[in-house]
Amino acid sequence: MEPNDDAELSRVLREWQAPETPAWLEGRLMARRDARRRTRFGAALALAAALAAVALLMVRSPAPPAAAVAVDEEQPFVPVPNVLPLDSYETGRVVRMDLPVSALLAAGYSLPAADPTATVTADVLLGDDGRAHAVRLVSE
Amino acid sequence: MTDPEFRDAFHMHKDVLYRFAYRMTGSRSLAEDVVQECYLALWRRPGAYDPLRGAVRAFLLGIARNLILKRWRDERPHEPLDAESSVCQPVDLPAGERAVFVAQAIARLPPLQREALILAEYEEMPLEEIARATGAELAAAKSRLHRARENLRRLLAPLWEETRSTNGTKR
Repeated sequence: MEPNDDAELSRVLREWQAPETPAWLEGRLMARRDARRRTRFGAALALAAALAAVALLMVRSPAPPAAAVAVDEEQPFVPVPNVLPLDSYETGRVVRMDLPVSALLAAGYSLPAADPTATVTADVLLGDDGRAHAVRLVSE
Repeated sequence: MTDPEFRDAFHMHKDVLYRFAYRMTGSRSLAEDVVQECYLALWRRPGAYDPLRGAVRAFLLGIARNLILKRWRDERPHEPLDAESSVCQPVDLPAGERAVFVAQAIARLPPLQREALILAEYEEMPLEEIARATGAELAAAKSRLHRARENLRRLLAPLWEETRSTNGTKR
């Protein structure tokens, strides 16, 4: 055998066979793809519902005074009380919306100086399941 | 991308991707992960595939190699992917396990040489497609393949010796 011969090298290399692709791989892949598709759909649905709820509240209580909540330039996200934080595998998404202060109070936030009839602009961190996990107030 | 198109792409290229990922990583579970991530990437952004730039196979192999090389960089941040001067030394020959020996030898190649060799030797891909899949110039792909073969001849030297002595004994 001559090691300088490419054909001989190829023959030796083929002694190492790769295993067959597992049959279950297709099922697992399709399940993961479908889960992502559902998550996307669920998040879009949750966002639409949230926006619809906010719009409805704004129609019912027109022209509220400006937000009475003091905010900083760099507000941190504050977890929604009694809601678990995002899991490490969740990517989450942030949606900016106008929220009634009353909704924040109802969710369990403590806003002692806030006007309950006001609305505030906030970034809402939604999990992959579409639930709100944290809120950051945005300076206007 | 429709569901049938997605399934067709899976059935057509899953084996190439799996074999490539397995031979690059030496791990079945990593290969399984890589194959799934490749197809999920295709599902998420089907527009990223441009037919004018080559076959789907080369596109998917490109995703697979990026995933594998990213893992390599994460695990060995100071080790070059393709040292020009890299000269691999022969490995010890495990008793009676020629296939394991070959696998060990290939695993010792720098990643960019290894991928070129795997695609050429095991998938019988032409140099042009290897260059497309690995995002390299044709000359670079050719050079990597040449250096991979040179290194393998050194790495597999004990195998040549063993075969030579076996043949000698038979005579």
